[in-house]
Amino acid sequence: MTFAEYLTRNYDNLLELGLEHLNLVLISMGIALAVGLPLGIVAHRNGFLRNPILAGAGFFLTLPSLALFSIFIPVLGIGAPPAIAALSLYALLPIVSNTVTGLASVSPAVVKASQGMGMTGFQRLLRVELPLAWPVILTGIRVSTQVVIGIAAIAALVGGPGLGTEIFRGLRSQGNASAPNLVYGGTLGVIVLALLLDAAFVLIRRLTTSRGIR
Amino acid sequence: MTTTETMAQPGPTAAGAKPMIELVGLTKRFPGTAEAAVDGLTLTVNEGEITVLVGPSGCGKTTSMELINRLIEPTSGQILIDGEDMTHTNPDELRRHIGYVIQETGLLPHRTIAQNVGTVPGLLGWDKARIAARVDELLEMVGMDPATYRGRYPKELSGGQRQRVGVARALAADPPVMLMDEPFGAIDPITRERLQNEFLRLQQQVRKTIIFVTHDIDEALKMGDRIAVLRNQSHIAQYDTPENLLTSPADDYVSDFIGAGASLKRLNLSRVRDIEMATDAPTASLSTPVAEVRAVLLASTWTSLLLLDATGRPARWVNSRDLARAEKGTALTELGLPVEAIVEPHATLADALDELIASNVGCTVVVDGTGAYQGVVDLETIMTVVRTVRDEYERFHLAQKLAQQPADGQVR
Amino acid sequence: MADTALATQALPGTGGTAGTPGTAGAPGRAESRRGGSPLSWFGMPVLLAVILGGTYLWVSSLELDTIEQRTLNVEQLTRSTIEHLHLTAVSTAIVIVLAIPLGVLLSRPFARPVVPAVLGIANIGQGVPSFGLITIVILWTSLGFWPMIIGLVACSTLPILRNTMVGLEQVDRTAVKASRGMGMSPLQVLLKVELPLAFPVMIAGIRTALIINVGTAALGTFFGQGGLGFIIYNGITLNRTPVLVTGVVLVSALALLIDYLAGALGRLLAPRGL
Repeated sequence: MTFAEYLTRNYDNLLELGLEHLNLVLISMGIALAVGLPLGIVAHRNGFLRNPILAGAGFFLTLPSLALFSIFIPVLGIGAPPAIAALSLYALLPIVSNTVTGLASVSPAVVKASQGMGMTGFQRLLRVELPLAWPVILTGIRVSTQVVIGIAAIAALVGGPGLGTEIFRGLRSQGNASAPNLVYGGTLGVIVLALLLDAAFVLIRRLTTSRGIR
Repeated sequence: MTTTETMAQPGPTAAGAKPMIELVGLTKRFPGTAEAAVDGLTLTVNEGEITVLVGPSGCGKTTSMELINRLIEPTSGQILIDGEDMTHTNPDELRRHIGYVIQETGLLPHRTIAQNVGTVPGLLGWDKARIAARVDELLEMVGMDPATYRGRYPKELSGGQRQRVGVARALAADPPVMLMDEPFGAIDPITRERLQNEFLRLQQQVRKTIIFVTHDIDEALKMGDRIAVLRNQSHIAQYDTPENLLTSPADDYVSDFIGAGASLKRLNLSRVRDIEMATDAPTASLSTPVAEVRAVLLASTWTSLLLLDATGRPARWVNSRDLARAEKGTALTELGLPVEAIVEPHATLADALDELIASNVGCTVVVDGTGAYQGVVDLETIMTVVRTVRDEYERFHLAQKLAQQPADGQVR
Repeated sequence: MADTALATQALPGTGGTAGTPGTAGAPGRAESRRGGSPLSWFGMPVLLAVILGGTYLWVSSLELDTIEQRTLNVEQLTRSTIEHLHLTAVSTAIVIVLAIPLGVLLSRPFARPVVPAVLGIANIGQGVPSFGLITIVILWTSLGFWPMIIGLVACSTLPILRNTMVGLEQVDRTAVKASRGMGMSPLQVLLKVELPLAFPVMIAGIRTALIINVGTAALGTFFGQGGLGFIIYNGITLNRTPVLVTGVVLVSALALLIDYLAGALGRLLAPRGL
């Protein structure tokens, strides 16, 4: 069976795995954002907590992915939950550190002027600092997403869903004539997904960034 | 320096002026520093006046200003605005009612010019239509066409335009008080001059109570109704009108700070409307028969005559030789020299002198707001002013020296 | 894992410009801790000692059944650790030898036309999952130590290559010009000026590659090459938490230790004044 034949026969299966994969990525990113953005804001505003927060987020990124996936199995069982926990932690550092960098890059004059006009701390954050830091923060989210898409393939090794299962199936049936197709299909699927999401980010960036700072 | 206290307390009050901002013993000590950054600043600012805080860098003038809108919280002391103690009110609320202009403009780069100008009204909860109308009015006021600039972003404007928007933004909610921290400091000299003049004209309309910080004594003399010369820790060396500062500086620190050429600087203070301009220059309408024009010129002590157009605006300078040619048939509009040196009454004598030197006639024509002829200023007029100032200054210095001699060993 | 490390390096890749995400990130990480507090020097070793000691005490307090004993014995743990280190060391050594000269070559003026293409490929490369990449290499060759090494090298080439290029790129042009003006040859400029100035960024790339290789080597067990992943996977398939935790702790401690050592080495070797 050629790769083309494999694709035509299995595209619905690949599509389904791709959607699983995407789902895994989006949920993990959602959690990482919900945690990482506030952490980044705290780290920016509180100089005392900045280094511990950044070091903590960096710590997870240093851990081998297999270890991080596995450590949640005793608590969360086999399947998607440990994968989501691990991926969320992996996604944290780029989001946190880019939030800090982005907020720090907002011109002091702009901050002072906003204060001088009587914006409260919260108004300043919401109307001035976050919108101005947004391009940098978005870059962090984009980097995180790319990281998570690739690593999510390893989720299959701990019984998780997604395109990794196709690769793992191919590895197990090594020697079998169809094995390479499965591996190519899974790998290519991940690459395509990564490219698609990257394109989506270009669009999101355009739509969510003020013309004044483009 | 006993002068500090005596000068600062009441301030040189003009008749009927009402104090708008009163700073009482304002002090700021930053944690971990031995010396206070601002030490017991006491100052009264009258309503509708521009008060300039001027001093060398590091003297605490910007800190003093930021204490007033409490971007920096004072360690001790009081801030009264319009008689009300502002020291313990909500600082955000306070700042919404104080216009604030800074050197770097601090325009929000992600928001349009209209959104920038409408920031404080928005914070105060005005409705959209009212904000939009106010924004247009303000842009008009600072000389920017609303239709053109409303939708632009700060990066699409020049430095001077940005600073105009900064001023418009500070005026947006019509605050009675404005703080301006070196607002024209980062702008090229030519544009700065223009913005200063425009701002002074604007101030004639809006009559805000303004505290203006600068390190440039010339700017201080030009902009200020009153000037506080500061030394270290915002100690007031002298708080006085520009004229008094020039003619009777309180001590060597002040006269050193003003620097040389005080009498020339005085030209920056005197405005054309305040001096006696010559009104005896011969004039005639362009439509007057040449013979009559000649008669007018001959009857005067002048060598040239100013031709005015139908609306009374200066058109050309002509002399008797030009008129002779006119009698041979050349049209009056093609004779003589065009009038290049023109100023309005609010121009300073320095402006008038500049124009005069650049012109080819040796005198500057003064016109009113509509451009109609008012009179002329010549070198003689200007020299008279310089001489008076110099005399006053020398007389003052002599008096000061005499007064200080016995005290030398004790105080200084 | 390839992707993980690219991120480490791309963190404050503020610009997000096509070719150079993370110019600022890597040196920032290396430099910010330089000469820092005792905590920055001794915090990590102390933390590792506590974690390893704690795990040891916990495991030795347990009554291990025969299945657990088969994995959790000194011999097996030592063998897995050595296999892991072997994979990491060989792959990292090869990738350094290959990627740094390549990066230097690509930063020379004559290579300028191909640089955008290389960076473009590098960007797409970010999306390639390391697991898939190694599997493909294995399928093309066979199961074995060297095919695994090829897979690891393929996964960790990008960060070193890119950091070498970016590091050389960001060297102050005036310093180069001044050195040429003093009569240094291009080679002397490279050795005495450019490489020392690019060092912090390059060392950050090497550190990133090390982390990738330690992490990816944990997948070795799926390709018959053992390593500490073997312990973890045994723990999962046998459903034995002590085994799983021991594997996780050992491989994590190894990764953190290597990262710490690489960071410390980078700090010690960095030219003064940078």
